[in-house]
Amino acid sequence: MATNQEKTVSSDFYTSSILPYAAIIIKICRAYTNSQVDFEDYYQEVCLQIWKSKDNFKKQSKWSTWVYRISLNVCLTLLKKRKNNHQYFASDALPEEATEESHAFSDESLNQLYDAIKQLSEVDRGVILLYLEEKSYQEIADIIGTNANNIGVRINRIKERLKKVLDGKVN
Amino acid sequence: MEKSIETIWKKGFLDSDALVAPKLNNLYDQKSKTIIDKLKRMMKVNIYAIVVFAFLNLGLYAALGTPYTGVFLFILFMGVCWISMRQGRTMINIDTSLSSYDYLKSFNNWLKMAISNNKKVMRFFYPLAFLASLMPIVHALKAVEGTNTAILNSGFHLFYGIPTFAWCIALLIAVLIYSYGGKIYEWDVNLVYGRIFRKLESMLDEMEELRK
Repeated sequence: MATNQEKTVSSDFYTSSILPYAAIIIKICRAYTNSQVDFEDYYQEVCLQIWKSKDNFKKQSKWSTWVYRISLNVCLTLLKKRKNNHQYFASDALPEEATEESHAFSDESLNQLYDAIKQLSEVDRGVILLYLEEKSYQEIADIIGTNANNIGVRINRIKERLKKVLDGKVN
Repeated sequence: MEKSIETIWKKGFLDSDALVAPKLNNLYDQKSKTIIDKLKRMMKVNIYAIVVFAFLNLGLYAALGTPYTGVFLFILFMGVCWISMRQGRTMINIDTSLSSYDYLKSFNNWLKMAISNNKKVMRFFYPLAFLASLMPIVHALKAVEGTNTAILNSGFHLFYGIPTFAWCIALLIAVLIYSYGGKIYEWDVNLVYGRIFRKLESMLDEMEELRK
């Protein structure tokens, strides 16, 4: 349902404005999904939302910050939607399959870290991902929509929690 | 834990395979699909809302002492629903195998045709609904003894127990509503679908600009 020209245009936008930040999107989507299918759905939706909201970008922040914000918002929204659906189809949940597919990286430590991150609350996942991406407290606060003063304390608390989970796994 | 989470994170992503972006379907396709699906959903909800409103009218006007007005408005609203549903069926004729631009363009043309047809119908609907909604007032004026006596003693020429000039004013307003029915409908449609129509138009403009 697309002409060649349209394909070129959208792939131009994708190549110039999304692909350089694909790593950010992948890292965030992985933290909110348990299977490859879900991950691809989330990735597609994030790209679509970035495309749709490109005119709303007022250049008051960096494009990467915008991408982070949209990625997190989309993931949180989709997660909420899925949760609501699962309330009706609780028996459809496939934890075994999800655990198996969640090991998406060749680095085993990274898989363990992701498993630990997935045990955090939705917002804490976003905070720690941004911290690991070396965003400043102010940037994290801007993206999450909270006060920068609380971010440092929150990150320390999350790191301790992650440490406990990871140590538990080692033991 | 031997390594810090920061080290695990950095080291883990050094492997280039870790960050392979999934294949992306065409964004315009997705965008077109999203906007049209949304419009279809909104139209469906609108029809349901009119049906609910039609039933509410039955009860409301019965409570106001003019059940026949409720029945009349019910038929009027259901007629509007029937026309909308009939028009909705013609939407199926749009070929979904077209390019996203042609698909959106066809959909937009269909939308314009549907609005133009509805405009003709609504020019009659609005004044009829207005006149019907006056009936409980007429009923109340005649039913309450004080007002009824005052009207009878007023010396005005009466028609159906109400001064003829009042009927003339109501009729004049109905004619005005008929004259501006198209505009009222446009305003009505814009209120509900305005945002999404503008989005559709801007997407088409964007696509046209790019095709030049």
